[in-house]
Amino acid sequence: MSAEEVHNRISMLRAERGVSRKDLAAALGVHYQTIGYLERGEYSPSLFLALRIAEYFGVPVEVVFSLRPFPRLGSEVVK
Amino acid sequence: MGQINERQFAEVRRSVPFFWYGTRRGRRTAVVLGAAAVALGYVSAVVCWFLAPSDPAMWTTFTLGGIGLLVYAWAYAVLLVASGGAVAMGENRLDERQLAERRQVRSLAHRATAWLLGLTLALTFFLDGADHFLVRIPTAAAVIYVFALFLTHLILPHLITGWRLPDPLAEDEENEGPLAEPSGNGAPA
Repeated sequence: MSAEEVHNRISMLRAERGVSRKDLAAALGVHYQTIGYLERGEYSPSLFLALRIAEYFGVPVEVVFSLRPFPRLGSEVVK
Repeated sequence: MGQINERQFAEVRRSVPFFWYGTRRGRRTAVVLGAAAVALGYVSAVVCWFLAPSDPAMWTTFTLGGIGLLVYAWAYAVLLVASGGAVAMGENRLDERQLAERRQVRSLAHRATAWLLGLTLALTFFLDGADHFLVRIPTAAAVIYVFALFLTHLILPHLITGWRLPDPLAEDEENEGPLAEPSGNGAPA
């Protein structure tokens, strides 16, 4: 694991809520390509932006961001 | 140097076809041509060093300068749009990711221009020592060299950004398409 790698579920939450990158970017006040960079893991947000993203989706920040990869959907069922 | 605002950015963006700023191939072509345009300035300075003052030096300078400046302006516009204005817009118009990118790119460009200035200094000392502490350089060569250095300083952050930018994601491309309405930057003012 890279020292500064932060995993996130932004794309999953966005798809689940039917929110486009552009809408999310507008709500957060960032450039829409920044959302793409976040989703691809090419940019790790500041604590402020991470908290705002979590607040936007109405979930705790650890639901959106993690230092370890998130388990794949259905992996618990397979076990 | 002055920083551009959203309106100016939108105007430049309208004048540049999507292929050039929206695809890696287009951006890298612009980077190569922009670097070549700057290189013409240095070539012109060398020509002036050996031939000025003379008609061949003058015509070479005008020809290379004219072609170089046209290509430079075009490449500058393409790369300005490609970076989303991250290098040229005011800090209050950028988000945290764009600011971080800008700091990194400017740091790299600063290092590169520091090397160029160091090389110039070393060349000056070398010539100074080799010619009994008296360097005779045609004024045209000195002026064009400094001008080329200035243009390098201006475009280098754009060249670095343009070379490194990844292609936008599919959904981004829809937003970035040539028919899409330019929407500014989205960052809080």
